[in-house]
Amino acid sequence: MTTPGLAQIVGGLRTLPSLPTVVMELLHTMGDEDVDIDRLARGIGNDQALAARTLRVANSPFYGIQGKVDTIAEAITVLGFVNVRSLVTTAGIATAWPTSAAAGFDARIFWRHSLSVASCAETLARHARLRPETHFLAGLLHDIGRLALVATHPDAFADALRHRALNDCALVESERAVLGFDHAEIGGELCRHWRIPGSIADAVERHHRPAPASVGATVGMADVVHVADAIAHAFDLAGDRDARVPVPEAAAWGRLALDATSLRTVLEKTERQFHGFANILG
Amino acid sequence: MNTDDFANVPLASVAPGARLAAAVVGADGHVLMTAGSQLTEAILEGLAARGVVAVAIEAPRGEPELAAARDGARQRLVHLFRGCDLDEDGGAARMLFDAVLERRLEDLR
Repeated sequence: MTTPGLAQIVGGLRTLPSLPTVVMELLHTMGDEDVDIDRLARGIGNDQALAARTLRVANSPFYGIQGKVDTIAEAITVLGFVNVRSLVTTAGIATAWPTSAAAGFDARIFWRHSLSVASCAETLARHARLRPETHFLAGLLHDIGRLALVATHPDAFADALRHRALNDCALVESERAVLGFDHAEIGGELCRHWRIPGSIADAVERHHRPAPASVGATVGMADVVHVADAIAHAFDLAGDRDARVPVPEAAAWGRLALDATSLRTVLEKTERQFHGFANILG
Repeated sequence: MNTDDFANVPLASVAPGARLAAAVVGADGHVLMTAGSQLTEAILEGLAARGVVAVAIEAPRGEPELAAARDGARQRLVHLFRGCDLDEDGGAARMLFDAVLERRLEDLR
């Protein structure tokens, strides 16, 4: 087998199944609150499977709603448009992929990890007074390049898995050793292909390489996703037997200024949100 | 399921000896194991092979069970952190290890 290059994989992203139209529209408006909510609500309601998944989570104990929410319009009234947008995009992205063909890849563990990073990134964003919604999405998408690799080049991904099994190293290191690049680079390109806001694409691309200490004290989205990834692996919500906590970069960790008390709060909130959202996966 | 039981526990972090708080249902809708069944290493492997990712387990009741669960939680964390040097790495890994362990032990008091 010839190992594919990054350009070849990026070219193959066009062959991936497209997301539902309304999900694409919601992604393009991410972080923007000046949108035509009624039109988007109708679009969500017209996709029955998507609406059903969304309402399942909207009615979960996590949101603590008194009474039942039966329609997307009601969900928007009760939870707010921003929350519903996060629910719908999560349901749309997590269910748009074909069943994986790569041996050793478990899509449910993949999405449980993605959801735990998203939940943690949102919680960390609140801690750092950043926009929770965009950080949630960056967390959800942080490993999407791995899914794209599995979907387009399952043999190359299987090679990376074999390398990891032999060396007991992080999968990202195996990807670099086998392919010469990693899933974060593919993920950044896929986000750009989907025309997701650039700050999110950049954070996805740099989540294993956050900025060094020399850039200053301002927390970046890549810092949040990087630290959320480490916390999520440590917190073990995904169920990956071979999981391995990546070493948190001191600069990114330092910029988030977490102490024992705030870290404890982050863990509690992450766990609560994860269990609320996990219903969306099936 | 009792309120102090644990729902949605990743199979990878369940120690042998734990009991199911709810039945495990396979992807085809059939019950694979009933509530109350005790999980052994072989059963855990079997469930993983059948694609089960998470289960509901009973909270440990007696002190020997609690001690075993605490030890299992610590061992699992040590395994997860095997790529980190807890005495180096700028302190972040140690802080994270301690915080998660504290959270796990809290559930087992």
